This record gives sequence, C-alpha cells and structure tokens, in this order.
Amino acid sequence: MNKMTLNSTGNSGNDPSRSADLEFLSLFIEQARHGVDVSRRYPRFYQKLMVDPELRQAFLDILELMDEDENQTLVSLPLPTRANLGFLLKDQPAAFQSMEKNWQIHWMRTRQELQAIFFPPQLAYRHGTDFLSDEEFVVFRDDFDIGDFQYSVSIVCALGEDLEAGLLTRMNVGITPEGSSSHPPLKTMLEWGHYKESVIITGEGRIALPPIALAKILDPDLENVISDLELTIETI
Amino acid sequence: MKPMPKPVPTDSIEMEIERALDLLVDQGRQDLVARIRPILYANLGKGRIARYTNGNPGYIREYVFRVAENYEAQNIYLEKIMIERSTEVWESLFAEMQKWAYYHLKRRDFNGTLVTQENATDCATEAAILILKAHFPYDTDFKPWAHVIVQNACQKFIQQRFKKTQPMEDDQLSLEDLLEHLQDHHAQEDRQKSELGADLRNAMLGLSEARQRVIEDMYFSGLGVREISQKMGKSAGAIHSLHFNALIDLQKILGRNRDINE
Repeated sequence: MNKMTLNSTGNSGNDPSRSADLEFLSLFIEQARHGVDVSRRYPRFYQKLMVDPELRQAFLDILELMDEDENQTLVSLPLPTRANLGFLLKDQPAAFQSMEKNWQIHWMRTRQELQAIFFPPQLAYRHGTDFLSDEEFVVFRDDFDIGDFQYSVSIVCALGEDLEAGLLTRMNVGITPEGSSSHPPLKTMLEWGHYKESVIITGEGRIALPPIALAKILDPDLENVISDLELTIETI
Repeated sequence: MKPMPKPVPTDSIEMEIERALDLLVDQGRQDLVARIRPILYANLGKGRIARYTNGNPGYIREYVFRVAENYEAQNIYLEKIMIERSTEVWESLFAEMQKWAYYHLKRRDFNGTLVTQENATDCATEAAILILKAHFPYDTDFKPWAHVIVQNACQKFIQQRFKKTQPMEDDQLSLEDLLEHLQDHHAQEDRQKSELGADLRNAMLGLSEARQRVIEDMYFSGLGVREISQKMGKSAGAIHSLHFNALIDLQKILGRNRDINE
C-alpha cells in the first residue's frame, strides 16, 4: 500500500476547510453522477457548495467535463505532444534505480554561440524585449548513432505569452529505424545558467520541458546570455 | 503474507465496519477482507467514512461493500499505475489527464493555443506526481478521483500565474439566501401572491429552458435529481450542473433586478 499523504488531492492548502472539502470532492462527484441527490444526502457538503464559489466551480467543472468526456465531446488535443513520463522514475524503489549505465554523451553550446542565436548581429538594432517576438530558436541540434539506432535530437525555445512565462522549451526526438520499440530509454539532462532539468526519452516525439525563466539564462537587462548550455544524454 | 490482526473496535463505527467485514468473510472472501481492512481504517482516519455516512451508521455497511467492490474492480489497474508504474498504462492515462487539464484551463478563459496545451501538460505532470504519491481510497472510481487531482493542479497553476483570484462580487444575493427563498417559496401555499414568488418567477424567465425546467421540477414539483434526470433524458451529473448554473444565473438576475428597482 502506498504511503498516505495528508492532502492527496494536491490542493494548495491556503484554506484548510476548503482543502478538506476538495479532498473528499471525488466522493461526492461520484455519488452525484450515480443520481444521488447531493443536497439531501449530504446537506453539509451542499451547504458548502452554496457558500464557496471555488469549491462549487470545481464540483461543476468536473461533473461537466466527465459528462463531456463520456459523450466524447472532448476532442483530443489539437497538437498532441509526446508524453514525458520521467516522473515515473522519481522516488522509485532502489531496485529500479540500480540499472547499469551503458553510455553517456555530453554536448556544450557556448555562451557566445547562444548569444548569436538569440541576438544575431544583423539584428543589433533590436533590443530590450523585442528579441523574442514570434520566433523559435533552435538552441541545439545533433544526430548521433548508438548501437543499431540513429538519434536525431533538437531543443527548440519560444517565448511564452509574456516575459514572465519564460521560454517554452521542447525537445524533438527522432529515432531510426522508425517505430522500433527496442531502443533503451534515455535520460536527458539540460543545464543552462540557473536552469537544470532532466527528462526521460522513451520514444520518438516532442517532449515539453518546464519553461525556462528568462532570469535564469539572461542578464537583468535581458540582453545577454549569461551561461553556456550543457546537455547530457545517457542510458538508464 | 501474515494477515493483519483484527483490530479491537473502539467505537460504533469500527464495530459496524467489522460487522460488514464479517459478512464478507461469511461469503468466503477472507483474502479480500485482509486487503481492504487497512484501506477502510485509513479512510476512517482521514474522515472519508464520516463524510460518506454523514453521521448515519446505517450507511457503513454500504460503504464497506462499496470499497470491496471497487477494490475488486480497480485493484489490478491501480497496481499498474501506482506500483508497477506501467509505461503503457501511464501513456494512455497521461494523455487523458493532459486533455482534462487543457479543458479545465480553457474553462478558465485560456485560449486554445499551443501554449495552453503546454501548460496543460505541466499541470498533468504535476497531477501525475501526486497520483503516484497518493493513497487511493477505493470508495470512488479512479476517474473522478484523478479528475479532482488534475483540477487542483490546474487551479494551483492559475493561482501561481495570476497571483490573486478574481474579486468576488459581494453585492449579490448569496446562493444560500437564494436557496432559502426557493425552499420557502415552495412551502408557500399561495405562492403566486408572494412578492418573492413574483420576483423569482420573473427571474426564472431569464434562464435557459433546461435550467428553468430543473428549477421548476426541483423546487416547485419537488422531484429528485434521479427523477429529473430520467424525465429530461440527461445524466445525473448534467442535472446537478444545470441546477447549480441555474442558481448562479438566478442570483445574477435577481441582483440585477434589485439594482434596477433601487
């Protein structure tokens, strides 16, 4: 049995009373979906729905989304990205972590190379925050062979909706021969300035990495890249 | 496996749990009892049983049987998710969770762009990590439980993103008051003559037909959710949703009308 957590639904916990209610929300949602009249069967919870707009909204959103999902009116995401299931390897029992390391490749992009990517000399008239408008930046691209497989990996960044959102970053992975499922899972570690993340590559596709806050890689004026980028890929 | 010792019941709830478990033992389901007993006591400690029974010990047996039934139906799937962490199962679940998160965000006025999709992926990842750490109570299906976790991850994301929530409109009639009025209104014999009844009737004209029907059926005809659901040919969840949305609409209309009259 998994370890119990105090607040397994992951609510923010600002309001302990709401936290507790959210903890039990699934119970009431399921009852409601089975035709139980929540107002009569659970008057106290119903009372809370009346007075707490956030709880009520959560209750309604989930009921409605589950109905829509069941009726297949929720279409799949327009541009599905490859699931990054790296979280499955976190906090694993020791037996899962002791797999033998077979190989490791390390790359580096220098600060100067990155500066040229984000602030090309011919666009020197642009300054301040204009530098990222509507552009995608390929900060890394390489093809390499390991065993029977050829890998093609690139890392692409684009500015989010605003500066605060940082750089939305994704990794594109191509593996040849295509469709093979026998290649080993790979761990990728990206370190750039104060940004450090790792993801697991389980197959071909697009993997979204957590956004890179600009302050982690640029100077306070957002005009200069402050650090080299290091990328490590290894078998796990 | 050494069976868990049978706890000594300390109060009526525990005694009721043990009685219900004894019934399962009588049916020859000792193994199942050994597996669900710790779950039941964990749920008891977390207050889930008290929430479910709402103070009525008559519901405890129903709760125990519900956990037993859900355990048998969902345990293999849950083990693949939480213990084995099967990539195959997770790929499909994670895609579902991404979709739920995307639509949760869209309901909060996020547009349908790639950025929202990537935000949804972040929220789904956050929720997935929580699912891996959580205790599944088996008193509910997995889907609503996972939905709540995804919804919470989205809400947290929105709060972090916008730092503060939208200010509440404090000049409106509270839903609690509105409900009280509706219930009073139902109790009145000559409701057409009531001033409040007239206000409500007027306000109800501003509701969509479906929402109007639910309010009529629930408060004026005294029907339950299940009956209305059958009558309207909609799911029970949809009736709950229509009901609450109707109340919210009524609240707004009554508030607006009150402002005009003032």
